[in-house]
Amino acid sequence: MSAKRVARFGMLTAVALVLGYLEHLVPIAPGMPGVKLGLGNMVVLYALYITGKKSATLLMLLKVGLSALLFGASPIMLFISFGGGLCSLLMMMGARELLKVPIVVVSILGAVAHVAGQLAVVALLEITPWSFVLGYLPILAVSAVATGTLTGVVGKYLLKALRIAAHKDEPDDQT
Amino acid sequence: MNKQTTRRRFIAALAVLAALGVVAAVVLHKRQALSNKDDVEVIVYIGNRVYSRVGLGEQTIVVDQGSGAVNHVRVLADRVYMEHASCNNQDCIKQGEVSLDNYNTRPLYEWIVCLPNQVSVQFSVGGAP
Repeated sequence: MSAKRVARFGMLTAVALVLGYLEHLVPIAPGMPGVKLGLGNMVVLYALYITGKKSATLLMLLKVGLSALLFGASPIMLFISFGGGLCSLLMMMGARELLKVPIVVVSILGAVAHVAGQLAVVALLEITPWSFVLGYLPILAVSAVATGTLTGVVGKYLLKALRIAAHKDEPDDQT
Repeated sequence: MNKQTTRRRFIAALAVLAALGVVAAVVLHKRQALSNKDDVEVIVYIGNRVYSRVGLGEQTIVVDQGSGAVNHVRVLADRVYMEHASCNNQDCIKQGEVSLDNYNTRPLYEWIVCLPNQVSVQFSVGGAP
């Protein structure tokens, strides 16, 4: 991996961490678990399109792990974040490569998969009763559609601007 | 208008309809409000397991799991709320109170949930699950 790619990956990780911290400081729905803007996930979306699947996967893992370490999340919250991040990433990969839908739809599907993954972990680890999980899923899904749309639209224009600026860099996964 | 544009607009329209459908389901999913507080039970769970069941009335349920995870659930004559929690994010405190007036209109409905400590409080009305 070239020094340029290492540096770019490091910057993406830092940006994802900072955005994650910012959305923690400015909650859109105080007290509601799982309802957030998903700014950090926007970086993963960008990485998926620009740097490739492997980089995006590593970025997601680092984002989840380092966020837990830096912001003092409990092991339970780490598992929940990991479950959401993994489901989101797999959905976005599938949506992009198999369904070939636009980036905004990829983002929406990723956001919905994120909350579904989080609730799946909550249910499987029996963190709360099932009746709470089933009742909360529609609410989280609605918020995910809204935030996924927002991050998708921003991601679309961000990609366009950065591709023009970088003259379409090749993905990091290709040497 | 070419096929690709049509396809994209169709997918976008489907996504919007699906979103509207979910919103409608959430809005229409309401239970009838009860004014009789004798039909209310406050159930405290640790994980999926019932820890305590009480009726409304002034008391504090202390959930001390011995690993530093401590929650104080305050039950009053007409409402319940999380008075204290040892978790980092304090989301359960911010979720506020559940009462007969708001249990079916709150975002979390009849629930107060502390995910880090795995403590959930259900304001169960009329024996609802």
